[in-house]
Amino acid sequence: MLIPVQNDEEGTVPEWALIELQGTFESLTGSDIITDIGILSKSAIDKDIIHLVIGYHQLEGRRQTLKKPLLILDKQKIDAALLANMAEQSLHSLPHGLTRVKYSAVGIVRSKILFKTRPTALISKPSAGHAALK
Amino acid sequence: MDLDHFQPRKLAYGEDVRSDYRLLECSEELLDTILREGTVIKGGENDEAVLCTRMKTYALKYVETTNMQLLVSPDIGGFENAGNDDIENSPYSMVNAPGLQTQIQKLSRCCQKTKAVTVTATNQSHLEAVEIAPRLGALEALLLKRPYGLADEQLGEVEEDTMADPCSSAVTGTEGLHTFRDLLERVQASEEELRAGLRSLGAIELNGSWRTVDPQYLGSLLELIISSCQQLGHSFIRVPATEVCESLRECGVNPAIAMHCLEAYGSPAGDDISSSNPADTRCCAAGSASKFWALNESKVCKYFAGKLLTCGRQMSTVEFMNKLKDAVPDGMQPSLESLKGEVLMTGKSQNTQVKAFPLSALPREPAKRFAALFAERPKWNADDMEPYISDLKVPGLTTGALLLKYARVSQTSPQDPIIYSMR
Repeated sequence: MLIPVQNDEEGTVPEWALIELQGTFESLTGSDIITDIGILSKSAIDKDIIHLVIGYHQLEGRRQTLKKPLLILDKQKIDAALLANMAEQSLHSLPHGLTRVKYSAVGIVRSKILFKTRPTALISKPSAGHAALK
Repeated sequence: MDLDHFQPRKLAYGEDVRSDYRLLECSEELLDTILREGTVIKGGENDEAVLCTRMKTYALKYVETTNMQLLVSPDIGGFENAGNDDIENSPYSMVNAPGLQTQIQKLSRCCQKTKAVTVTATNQSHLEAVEIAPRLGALEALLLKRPYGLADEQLGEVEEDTMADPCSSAVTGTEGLHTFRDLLERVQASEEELRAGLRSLGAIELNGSWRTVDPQYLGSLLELIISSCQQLGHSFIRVPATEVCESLRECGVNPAIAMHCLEAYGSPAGDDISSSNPADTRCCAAGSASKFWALNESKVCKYFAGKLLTCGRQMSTVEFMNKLKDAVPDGMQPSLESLKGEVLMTGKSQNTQVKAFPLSALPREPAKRFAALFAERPKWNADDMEPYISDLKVPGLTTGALLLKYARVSQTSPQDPIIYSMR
């Protein structure tokens, strides 16, 4: 079985951002759909620290460069005509071994913003509609 | 992600947030290869998947995280900061924040001026690509089903005569035969590694299929070549390829196989300019343009040594060396040194014996190779062990590192030789 992993675009793929948090979100209003999460800003005091305010919590995070880049792959189906075309062109493609699936590169992640400290509580009631960090 | 301005930005989920992207952690080199050339994930139903580029093979390890990862794509996420530096209205201009509610309201107001950061996907795991040695076990299994031998030669003759021989017992047709592309699909190795594997198995491409040659048959061809040279008065270091292939063809041997035998047991010796007949190259295998070949003394001696010690036979070293001198062609000097990797000596100084222990019969995979070596002999010294492990290639490990990993090193005193034994 052969599944191609390749870049279908010309040139390189765009760089995405990654925000990493410890924990999960829960909606205070009880609805299933969370749209707004919080507010991101850069600290005025320390340029390397990034603040994220969620409801009545504030989290501190730092940007970290990843040791090795992460490639973001999207699993896609290959249509029959394209399949035959690929079999002729590509080195690795074989008509009978090729599956109907391929992974297409959509982006790269080279750094992430990691929030790993405990959230500090801001003293006030959260407004309705905002998510709260659990 | 642009957070360079002092303006805060709202973080929100996008409309269709995906959670099925696969993240692949890879080196810059692999990343570059995937983006420029493309790669392929290979595996049968029962195999662990591997990723193959043209040159290398990588195992894929699944790594989960308990953290929540939010991915923001540059297209939708809103990297362009619509707001400008508005220090006065910045939330940080408030030195003594009156109350939190006010702060939050102020933040929200500031956010409306800037574009939101939209989360397009979430993620909880990634795949790590780790370079590994190719898994060539499948290649051996596939090729050893139909090695080329005497029966195939006879079949070749029959096909030339275009008359079917009902008594022929050779397997006909393409069942069990594999093209290069076929092998590339089934074997978990990169293209270059597959080619290297085929070379190390001494395989030959005939009519589009890659096949190993039955070692006994190949050996008998070597003996034919030697006797042919002796009859025609050719030196073993200057064997005329064309003539020899021709004389073997008269014995029913496919010239491509005869040439393959020369390649297996010898090396090119350079062209002779005096022979300029273009017809001379017709029997030579594609790519080998050299008209003269030199037989490799060590390889020829190893063949005859193996022949003397078939079926696990052991004999005294003295008797063995005498018989070997008689068996090898005149002009070749066999020595125990040249037989390293083919025979092993046992016993004490005066009464040593030899037995066959060819490298080619041992497992390829490092753990199994060391197990086989220690099963044969519990203790090895470095010199004896070297020819049996020098061909092991594991990415990131030198031979020394392999020894440390799979063997226990001991040394009774600094002057004594180092001894390796099983861990």
